[in-house]
Amino acid sequence: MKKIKKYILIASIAMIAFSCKKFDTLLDNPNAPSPTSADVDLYFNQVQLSYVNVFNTAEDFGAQLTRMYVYYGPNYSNGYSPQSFDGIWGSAYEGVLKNANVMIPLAKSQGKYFHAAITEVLKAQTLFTLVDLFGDVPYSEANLGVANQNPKADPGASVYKAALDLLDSAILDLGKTSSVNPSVILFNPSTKAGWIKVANTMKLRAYVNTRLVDNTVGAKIQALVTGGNLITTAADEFTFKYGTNQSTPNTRHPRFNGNYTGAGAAGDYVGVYYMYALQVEKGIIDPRTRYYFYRQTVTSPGNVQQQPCAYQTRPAHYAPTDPFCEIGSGYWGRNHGDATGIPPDGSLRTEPGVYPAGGKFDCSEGTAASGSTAALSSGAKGAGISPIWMSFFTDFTLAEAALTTPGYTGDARASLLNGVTNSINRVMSFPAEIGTVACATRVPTPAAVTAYINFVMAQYDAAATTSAKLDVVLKEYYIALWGNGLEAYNMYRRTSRPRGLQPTILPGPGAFIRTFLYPSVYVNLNTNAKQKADWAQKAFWDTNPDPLF
Amino acid sequence: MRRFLTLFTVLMLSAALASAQTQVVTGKVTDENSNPVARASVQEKNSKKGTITDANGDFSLSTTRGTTLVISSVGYEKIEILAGNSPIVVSLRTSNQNLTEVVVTALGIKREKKALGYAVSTVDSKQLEQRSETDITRILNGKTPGVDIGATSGLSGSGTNIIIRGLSTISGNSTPLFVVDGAPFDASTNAQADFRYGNQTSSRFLDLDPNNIESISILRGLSASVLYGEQGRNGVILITTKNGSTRRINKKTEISLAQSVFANKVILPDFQNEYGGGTNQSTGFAFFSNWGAHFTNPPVMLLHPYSRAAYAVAFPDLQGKLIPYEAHPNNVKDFFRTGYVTTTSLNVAGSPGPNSTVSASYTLSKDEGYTRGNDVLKHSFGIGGNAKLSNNFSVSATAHYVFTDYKTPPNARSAGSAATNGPGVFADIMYTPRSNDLSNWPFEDPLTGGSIYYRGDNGIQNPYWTTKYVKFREKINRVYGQASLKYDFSNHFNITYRIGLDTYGEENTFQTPKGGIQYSLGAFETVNITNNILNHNLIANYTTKLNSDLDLSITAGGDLSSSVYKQTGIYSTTQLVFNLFNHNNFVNHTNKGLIGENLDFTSEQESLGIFGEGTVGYKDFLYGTVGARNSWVSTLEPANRSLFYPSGSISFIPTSAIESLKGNRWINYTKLRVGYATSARFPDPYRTRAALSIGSNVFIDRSGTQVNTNSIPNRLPNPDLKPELLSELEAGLEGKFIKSRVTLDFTWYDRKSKNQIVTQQLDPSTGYDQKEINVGTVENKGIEVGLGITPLKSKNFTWDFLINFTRNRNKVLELPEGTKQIPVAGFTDLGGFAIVGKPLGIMQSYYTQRDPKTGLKIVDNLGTYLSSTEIGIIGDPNPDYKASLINNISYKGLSFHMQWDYTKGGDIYSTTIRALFARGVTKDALFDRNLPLILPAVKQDGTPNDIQVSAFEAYFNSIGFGPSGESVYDATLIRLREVSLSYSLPAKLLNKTPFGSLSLTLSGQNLWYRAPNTPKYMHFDPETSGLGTGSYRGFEFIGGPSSRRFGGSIRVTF
Repeated sequence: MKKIKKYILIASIAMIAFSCKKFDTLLDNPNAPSPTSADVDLYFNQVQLSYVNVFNTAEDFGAQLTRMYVYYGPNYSNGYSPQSFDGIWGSAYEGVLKNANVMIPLAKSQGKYFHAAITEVLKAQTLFTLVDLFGDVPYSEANLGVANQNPKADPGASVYKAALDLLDSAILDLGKTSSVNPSVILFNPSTKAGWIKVANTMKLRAYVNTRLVDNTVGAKIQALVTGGNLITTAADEFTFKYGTNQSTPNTRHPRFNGNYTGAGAAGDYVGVYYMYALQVEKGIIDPRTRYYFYRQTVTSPGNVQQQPCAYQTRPAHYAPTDPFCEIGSGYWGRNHGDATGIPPDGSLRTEPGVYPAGGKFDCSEGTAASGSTAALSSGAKGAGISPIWMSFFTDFTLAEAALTTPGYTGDARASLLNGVTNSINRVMSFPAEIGTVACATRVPTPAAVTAYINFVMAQYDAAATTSAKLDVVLKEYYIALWGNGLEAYNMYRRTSRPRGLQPTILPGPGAFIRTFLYPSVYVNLNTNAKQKADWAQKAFWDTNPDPLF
Repeated sequence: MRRFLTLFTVLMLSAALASAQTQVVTGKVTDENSNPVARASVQEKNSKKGTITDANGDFSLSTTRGTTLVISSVGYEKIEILAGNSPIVVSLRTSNQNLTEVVVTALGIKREKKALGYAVSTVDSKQLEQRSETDITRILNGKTPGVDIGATSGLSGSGTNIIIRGLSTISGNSTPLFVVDGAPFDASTNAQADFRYGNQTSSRFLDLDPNNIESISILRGLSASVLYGEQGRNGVILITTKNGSTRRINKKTEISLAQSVFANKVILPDFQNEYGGGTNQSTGFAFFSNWGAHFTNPPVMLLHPYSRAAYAVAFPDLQGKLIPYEAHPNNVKDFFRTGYVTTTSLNVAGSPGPNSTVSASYTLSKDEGYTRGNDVLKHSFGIGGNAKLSNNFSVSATAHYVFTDYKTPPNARSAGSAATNGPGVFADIMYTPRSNDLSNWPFEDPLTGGSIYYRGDNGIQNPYWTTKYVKFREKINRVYGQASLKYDFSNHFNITYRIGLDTYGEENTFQTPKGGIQYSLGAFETVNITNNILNHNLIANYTTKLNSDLDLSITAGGDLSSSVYKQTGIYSTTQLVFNLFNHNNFVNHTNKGLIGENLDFTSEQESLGIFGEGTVGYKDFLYGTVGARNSWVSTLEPANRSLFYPSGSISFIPTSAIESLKGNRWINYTKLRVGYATSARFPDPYRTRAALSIGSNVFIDRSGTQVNTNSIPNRLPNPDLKPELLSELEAGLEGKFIKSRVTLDFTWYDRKSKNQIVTQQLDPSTGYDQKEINVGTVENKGIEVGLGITPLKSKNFTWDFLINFTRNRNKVLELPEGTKQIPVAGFTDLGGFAIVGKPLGIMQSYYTQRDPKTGLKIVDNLGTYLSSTEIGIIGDPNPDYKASLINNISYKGLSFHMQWDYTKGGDIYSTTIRALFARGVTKDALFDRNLPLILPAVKQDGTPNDIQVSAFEAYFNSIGFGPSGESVYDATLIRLREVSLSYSLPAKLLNKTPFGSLSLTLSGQNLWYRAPNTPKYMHFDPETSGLGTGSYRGFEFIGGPSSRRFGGSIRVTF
């Protein structure tokens, strides 16, 4: 009996000793590598893909508010919930900033300065975007992990400053000799010289965007222009380039994914106002229209089930110049702030066209390009671009600066002319570049292009005041910004232009969204976060009064 | 003959030894009916010397002539007899059952209930067999206090969540431990995507065969489950299968055969048939909403919804065709079918020798859901046996093999307007407009096989197409069993070693051909899972009498358990040939699943525990138990891996202790008990060390280069993580009164779980979104009452009923410093949260703003309810209490059984009700829809609301799809869960037949229910959870309606 007890005791001790040894081998996750095996190129790829997520989300919110795409509303206070912004918050802080923060020093230590520089640019862009959308955001206390679980927000101005410093640092790093170039750059440009232009142009963008609160920017803009290292040609443009792979992985432009569906409805509606601005407003058709929009039907209005708004009375508060619902010829969109049920019109709504989403050029086919397997092969099959900064954005920005910013002495008219011309040329050259063709019969003739440019320049020349000239410049910028709602949204808040945007369907929608409410993950999980009082809180660079126009 | 021989031998031996001073006394112990009593103790009075009887009741003991022998056995009255001439034949009288009830406790140890300082409830085979449900936990519902069971959907075979004594862990799992014949049994739900993609995944306790269960003991508290350590913290469901039973089988009951057939019929809302599809009285076939015009006679003729360009080739006949706009009252009903549930069960058991039993069983069950494409087929085999060898060894083993084949169309979450994630079979069917003849309109394109639907943009996958083509399937091959070897050193001391194995392979597939909506190019996911639990257990039992008043029993031992989960999978997209499911028939392949999760991974953990428990009994009326366990678990760093947790309990029986109470006619038995115990929870593996996330082939650039990534994971590792500690104080009163006509089992408990391992959600601006930390306390306090009353009892007639009552109060006492709240289930703006001072899982979302002065709801400038901009509390999913009434009446061979369940309170956010209101299809929204409505509310300026809205706008924007808070309902529920009438042929009739018994039963489950605080015509069943099996409740995302099951069974033994 005693013996047996002893055996049991010995057996138990042996079992414990054995187990503890075995236990130690079960602590490391067998499904993932150790952090020491991290690779700079693979971090770099993660940052690139995360940044384009940040851009696309921001672009979409901006496009909705500036009538490029539908904003369902119905009021400005209830169109979005704070949770709507959780995604971009995560992409920015966890996708871009966290990985960039680890990757940049690692890359520099390995002499991979080109990797580091692009990452610095993308990090800076992420910071600018966060401030543009939310105002004050965490930066100096952010991304510290366990060391600070409740980062405080920094003033937007200081975050902008930090981002500008990153751009300077990127320019310095681009001047150094890299041990090796990145294995994949998913953006245009792909050369160091090109990225120096990107970094400088992003500085220009930041200077113009802060011109209302900083009287030193004029001289800085002047210096950048004199320096000559800005994005001024199609080869320099700052874009993300999509592919045509449908799944695993899906590499197509997000607007293409959402609209040229293999089954079901086309995605979000194009804003009625935006199509009106191109197709109707000037009385002369914009040469870019068929590149921007693809009509699934060329006849409208539809019946009352398909297009109920065409059978409703025009809201009393709409000005005579405001478009409402139906602009004819199958340009099938949705009014700003229309929160009513979705009619069965998924195969009729106008879809984004070949530029920049990689969809179809509108050859007046008037056939559905959604809800069928064939739709997936439409146009350029999704091989579009995210136009983060096109050469003509530089032109329009300089035109705005010339008209508004003391210290910069550029020629606004010349810049406007460059902008419009470059935009039209770039859009018209786009289908060939991404492997599709615009049907020859519908490609605008050189005469039509010239007529349009002349019309715009005549408008400019007829404008008596600087303010009126600015109206013309920024309306053209707005039209050229298709695909980049973020810059449109920034421009609208910064300049209160374009004038005459379509109001919400409801009268009295409340103050316009000047910055978004903070994401719910920030407000609900961070003890130092406090939700904003309302949607009318402004970014530091926005000093315009309410309402904007 | 054998008996005669034994007797002869005994006689011869005793004759030979009769003259000796020390002689071998032999004898036989029987019960009142002369059946042998095995394992009865035969002991010299005032000495430790003794023996036990064998399976035939025989014993032999070397003793001194004239010694007094004490013969006792659990369940019988103790008897003293002089050791005289052999053989001594002793007949034991069945004792007062109050004192001798035996229950199975932790580690399968049978103990007298009176000695237990904690609550144990048992459910026997009669309450489990021949039921129309094939999921054991769903059958258990209401049968015992303290257990709360909820279904995840109306699909046959879908997961079930089971909670004992409330939710006590913020981030952990609340599923109790299942132990089958002494070995742990995996009860997890191996869902590949999350609840948004549908709650169709089955829980692995579906592999248990309810017809092969001898009994279930439910160990609710920590005092009861302490020997199981951290695995037993959520309670233990201790199952003894018929194969693991050591019960001896009587003649003519050696083979039992049962057959049952049940019908499974869906319970649908009452639809109105006066208004059809449309909005604001406009008519059409292309709407989801049913706010169109009133039907007319003769009906308005409208173009067929398939009269459109896209279908011109497929349906030339329908182009330009006019069809009447009229009601199709059965357009939802016809989607469903009557499912049949059949079970055939065969059990063979016997006693081949005096000291052994063997048994084998087989059950075939087929459970057809009320939805086409939803079936569960199960083959369950079991064998088992035990034998006591002559050399003091006993062996026993059971082995089970189960093949489960579960098929269903997927059931993705719906918000009331198309399934949001994957295809959802119920997502869109319930609100089909009354005017749409869905059942007769084609659902597939005759040319391509693709789904077609009445919406002009074909934006919703036709549910008929989903049931025909889209399949979710789980095939399980599972083997589980145990073998044990016991050695009796003496009557007082034995050691048992048991090895338990539970291993299964699961093939999990999801397939949807091209031509659908959510996966228009087709998708095919196959996942192969293997799960292994290997458990070694060594237990020593020692019992002794310290003196005439004091008994001591000690159990000590250890267990070593390892579990390894591995899965590999492939997800393919872009199908080539329609409806052929082979990965070769797909273009793209990846090992990331539907939501981008890794399909390949391994998770392994081991745990080691040593434990001991000792009970001292004083004069059969006072028992004290102390126990302790030390566990080591591999998921934590060495410094934090070990945890010691003690327990103690006292049981006192006044009716045995106090002279004046003995033999009292009114108070037959009372027991007071109090216990305190602790337990622990260890985290899931790999939470303490940093790792790197890798992504392969996440993008392909225009030049065709595949792009791969690595990144820092969004979960912060925590090397300092410690186990979480649970403690529970429990006290109870048990009693039998009025000639045992009234029995009471009352328990009060207070459980605190401290130092919780909480998955703290972080603001992503920290760089991370979650981290495991040790903070947070949750308290569960409650009472559990089982009250049995037998109002009438005579020779032929018995009427008894049992009332089970459970009340649990749950409260979060502490959260990590600086944490406002922790989302625990659902979405961050529509889900369950942990908030200090509130019950765990409190529901938060957006709600309608109210005027602070009048408390009235506020409408916006459209006359629509004004939503809050931040989330707030919209409900509490925890019920006030749950009660059930189980009523049995028997008269001779006829017995009638009825179970009523009642749940008071608790809230549920119901998407079903939300959608049906918004779409205006049920009778709840039947009124003159031409009249405008003004919602009872105030405007934003505080003045009374005078904004007229149409019925459509009111129901669509405010009442149906208004702020989430508008769709929260009180989930009070009364249900007639079971009714059965059975007839057993009298024994007399069967005497001359080979049959031992023959019984017929007619029964029904869920025949009637009503949730009185939900809209009347919706027939909504709130006992459902759209959040999956994670135990949180209160949200429902159109998981499918409830069903009624009824049928009959026949059972014979021979």
